[in-house]
Amino acid sequence: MTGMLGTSREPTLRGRDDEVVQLCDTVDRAVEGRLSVAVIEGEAGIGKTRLMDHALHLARERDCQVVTAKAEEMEQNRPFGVIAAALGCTREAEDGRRAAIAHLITTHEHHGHGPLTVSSDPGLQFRVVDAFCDLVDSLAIERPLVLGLDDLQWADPSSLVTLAALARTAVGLPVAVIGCCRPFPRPPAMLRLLGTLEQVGVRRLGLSQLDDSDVRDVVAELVQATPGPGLLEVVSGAAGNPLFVTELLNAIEQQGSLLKVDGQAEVSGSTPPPSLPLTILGRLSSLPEEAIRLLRAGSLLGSTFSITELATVLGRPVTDLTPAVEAVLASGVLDEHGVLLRFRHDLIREAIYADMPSSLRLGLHREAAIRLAEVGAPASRVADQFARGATSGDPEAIDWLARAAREVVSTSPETTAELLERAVGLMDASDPRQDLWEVERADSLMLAGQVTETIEACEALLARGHRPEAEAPARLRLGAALMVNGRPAEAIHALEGVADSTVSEEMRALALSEASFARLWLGDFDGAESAAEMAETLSARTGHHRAATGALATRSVVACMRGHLADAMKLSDEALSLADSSPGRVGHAFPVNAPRGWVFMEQDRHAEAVQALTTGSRICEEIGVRWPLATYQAYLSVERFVVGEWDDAVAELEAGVALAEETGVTYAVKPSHSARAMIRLHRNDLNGARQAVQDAEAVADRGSRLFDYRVLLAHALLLEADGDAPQAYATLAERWRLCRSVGMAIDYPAVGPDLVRLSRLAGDTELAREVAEAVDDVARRNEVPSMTGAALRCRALATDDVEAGTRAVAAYADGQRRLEVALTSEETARIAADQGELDLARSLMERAGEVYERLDASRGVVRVDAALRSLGVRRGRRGARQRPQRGWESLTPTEATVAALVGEGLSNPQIAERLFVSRRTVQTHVAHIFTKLDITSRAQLAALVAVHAGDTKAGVPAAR
Amino acid sequence: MEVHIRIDHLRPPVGQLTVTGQPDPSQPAPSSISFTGWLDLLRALSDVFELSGDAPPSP
Repeated sequence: MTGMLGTSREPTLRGRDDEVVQLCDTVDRAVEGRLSVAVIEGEAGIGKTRLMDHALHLARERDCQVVTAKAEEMEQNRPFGVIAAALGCTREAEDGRRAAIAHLITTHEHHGHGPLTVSSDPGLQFRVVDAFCDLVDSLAIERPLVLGLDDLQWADPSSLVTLAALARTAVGLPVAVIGCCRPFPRPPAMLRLLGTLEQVGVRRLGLSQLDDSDVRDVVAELVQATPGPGLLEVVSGAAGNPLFVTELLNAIEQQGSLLKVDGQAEVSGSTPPPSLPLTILGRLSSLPEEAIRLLRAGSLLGSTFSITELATVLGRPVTDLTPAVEAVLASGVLDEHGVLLRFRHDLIREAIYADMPSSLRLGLHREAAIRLAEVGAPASRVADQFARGATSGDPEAIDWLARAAREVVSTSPETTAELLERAVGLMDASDPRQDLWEVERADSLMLAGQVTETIEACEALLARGHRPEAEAPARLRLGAALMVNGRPAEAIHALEGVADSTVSEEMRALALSEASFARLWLGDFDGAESAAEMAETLSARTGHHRAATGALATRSVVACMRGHLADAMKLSDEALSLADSSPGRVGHAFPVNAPRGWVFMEQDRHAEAVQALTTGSRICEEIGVRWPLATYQAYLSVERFVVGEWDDAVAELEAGVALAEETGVTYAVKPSHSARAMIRLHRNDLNGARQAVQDAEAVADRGSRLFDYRVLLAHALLLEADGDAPQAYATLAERWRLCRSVGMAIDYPAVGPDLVRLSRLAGDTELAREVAEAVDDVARRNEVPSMTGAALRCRALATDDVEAGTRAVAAYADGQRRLEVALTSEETARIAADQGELDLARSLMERAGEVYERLDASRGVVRVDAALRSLGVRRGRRGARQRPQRGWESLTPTEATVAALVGEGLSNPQIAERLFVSRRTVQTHVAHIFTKLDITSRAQLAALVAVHAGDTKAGVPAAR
Repeated sequence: MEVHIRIDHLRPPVGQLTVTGQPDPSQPAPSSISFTGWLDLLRALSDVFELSGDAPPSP
C-alpha cells in the first residue's frame, strides 16, 4: 500500500495560533510555579491531539517533566486507568511511589460476589486519589510537571475524580494539566470534573474547523504543490476537518487521481468527497483480507489492545497473525504503543467498527467475551464485551457486569455504580434483582461520597414501581443520605417505613439507629434516646455493629447535649470499643469519634479531642468511608476555635466547608459557621460575621436544630455590635425558654454569660438569676473547668461579684478557653472599677488586652484600650493595632511555619505530617499565604522565605 | 461485463455482488461475492475491476 496514510504523515499545525498562545501560557504558568489547566474541545479529527502534542513539545523544550496518556473507550471500567498510565504507575515501576500506587489499585479488590453493603470491605479509593496527589506534588517540587491527557470523554470515573482532586490541591504547584475531549459523550463524572476545573480557572479551548486559507496551506504542504481549484473544491467537502482533509488527499493519491502539472496539483475527475469514514474505509479496502479481519477484531477491543487479546478473540495462535500484523503496521493504520497495538486515530477504529452491521457486532462482542472469559481475562474486560454484545435480559452480560462492579468497589465505587447501572439497564423489567441492585448502586454512590446522587438514586427507585423487598433497603439508604445532607426531618420520614415488623431485625436495627441520629439533630432528645435504645436491643440480637455503634454514639451525644458529660463519655467509650472490635472496623462507618471528640472538647480535654477527631478521620480514610470526613474536619475547626487557635480554626473550617460542599455532607458544618462568625465578630469583620451567621442559618433552615443556640448567640452579639442590645437580649431570651424546654443544657455554659449580661442591661434581673442558676446546675454536675468558669462568670455578672469573676478567669484559663478568659477579665474589670477597686480593674483589663491581642481580636483590644485610658493607663501600641492584611507581617504564626516548610521544599502532605494537620488544612494555609503575599507559586514563596530569612539574619527589618 | 449489486441492508451495506459477461473467457463463470460493510464491498469492486483492467470506481 502506498500513500501518505502509510507514512502517518501529519501536516504542520495551522490555524490554531490563538490556541497555541493560550497553551504556551498554560505551560509558562506551570514553569512559573502555578497550577494551570487547559481543556481542548472539539469534534473527532479536528486536531485536538495534534495541538496538545504541540503544547507538550513546548513543555519539554522548557525542561518540564511531561507525562501523557490517552483514555480508551473500551477501558472506562478500569479504575484510575488513564491517570495511572500517564504517571507510569505500574507494579513494575522502578520508582517506589509509582509502584506503590499500582499496588494499591490492583490489590484492594473485592473478590466476593455478594451484594455490596456498607459493611462490605469498603474501598480505598481516596487513599489512591491522595496517593496520586502526593505523587504529583512530589514530582512537581522536583521540576515543573505537565500532564497531557487525551480523549478524556472516555476516561474512567476514578481518573476524573483524581483530576478534580489535583485541580483542588495542586494550587501553587508548578503543574499544568492539558486535556482533550470531544463534545460528546459527557458522562456525569466528566461534567463534575469540568465544574471543578471552572473553579480553578480552566481555559477551555474549543477547536472549530480550519478556514479555507488554512486548508489550502495544509493541502499545499501535503501534496507539495500549489492546489488547483478542482482539488480545493473536492477538499472543501472535508469541512475544514484536518484529519478528513488528510485522509481525503491520501485517498485521492492512492487512487492515482492526483495530478501535478507545473507545480500545481489537481484532481482528475470531479468525484464529490465521500464521508470521512468512507474515505478511510476506501483506503483500507486495499489491505489484504487477513489484515482487514484483524482490524475488525481489533476494533471490537478498543483503540488499544494486545496481540494476545487479538489472538484470543480471533481464536488463532499469535504466530498465525504475524503477517497480518506486519501489514497493518506497515500501512500505518495501527502503530505500536509499548507492547500494545493502537489505532492511529480513534476515527479509523470507529469507521471499521461502524462498518459491521450491529447484529454482527453483537455476535462478535459476545464471542470475544466468551473467549476472553475462557482465558481468565479481567472481569471488567469480559464484562465490557458481554455488555456491548448483550441484548435485553442477557443473563451472562448482567452477571459479568455485576462481577466487574464488585471487583472494583474498593478502588472505584463510582465505576461500580456505573457498571451496576448498565447491568440494571440490561435487565428485563421482571428481573427480581433489579431493584436490589439499584440499592447496591446507591450504596456505592454513598461510598464514593456522592450524597446528592445517592438521594436521587433512592428517590427514583422509590418513586417508580418496585418490588416490596426493595422498599425498606431503599428507604434506609435514602434516610441515611438525607440525614448527612442536613435534612433530618425528611430522613425520619424516609425511615418511617423501615421500622415495621415485615423487615429483618438487622434492617430495623439500622433504621432505628439512623432515625435516632436524625431525631437527635432535630433536637428531639427523648425520641432519639428511645430509638437508639431499641436499635441497641435489636443490634444485640442480630450482631449488627454499625447499628449498635451508631445508636450508642447517638445516646452519647444526647447525654452530652443534656449536660451529662460523664455519662456521655461512658457511652462513647462503649461505642468506640464496639467500633474498634467490629470486623474490618466497620463500626467506624458511623463517625463514632466525632461525638467523642466533641465530648472531650466540652470537658476541656482538648488534646484528647484533637486525638479523637484526627483518629476518626484517619480510620474513615483507611476503611474507605468518605462521608464522615467533613464532620471530623468541622469539629476539629470548632476545637481550634475553642482553645483560641483561631487562625488554624479558620483554615480547618474552610477546608471542612469545602469538603462538605464537595460531598454533600452538610449536617455538621453549622458549628463551624458559628465559630467563623464569632472569630469575625471579635476581629471586627462584621460583614464577614453576618455572612457566617447566614451560612449557619441556611443549614438550620433545612431542619437541623442542633447547635442553633450558638448560631443565635453569634447573631445576638452582632445585633449588640450594631447597637441594638435590646433586640440581642430579646433574641437570646426567647430561645432560652425553648432551649430549657428541650433540655439542651450543654449550651447553657456557652450562651449563659452573655444572656445574663444582656438580661441585666435590659433590666431583666429575674432571667439573669434563672440563667445563672441553670448554668451553675450544669457546672456542678460536671466539674469541668470552663463550666465552672461559666457558672462563676454568670454569678459575677448577675450579682456584680468581683471575686466570682476573678475565679471565673482562673477556671477558664484552666480550661484553655482564651476568649472566655479575655471576656471575663474585661467584664470583671468593669465591675471592679465600678466598685472602686481600680488596681484590680487595671490588672484584669490589661490581662484581657493581652489575650485579645494574642487572638488578634481587635474589637476587644479597642474596648480594653478605651477602658484602660479611663482608668488612667496608656498601653503601648505593640498589640493594639490589627495585624496587617497583606505582606509578610500579615502571616499568622502557623502560616509563617507553613511558609518556612514550603521554603525547605516540603510538599503539602509532608507539611501536613510535620504539623499534625490534614493536607486540606495545609492547602488552605498555602492559599491564604499566596493571597496575603500576592504570589501564585511555591517557587515565589520559597524565594520570599529566603529573602526574609536573610533579612532577619542581617538584622534588617523584614517589612514588606 | 456487468456488475449487479444487491443490497439487503443499507447501513452499512450488506448484500451480494454478481459479475456477468466476464471479458476474459479463462475466468470462471459468473460469480457472486457476498459483502458485509463497505470494506468488503469496496474490496470486491476493486478485485472485479482489477480483473477487467478498468479502474475501480471511487467510493
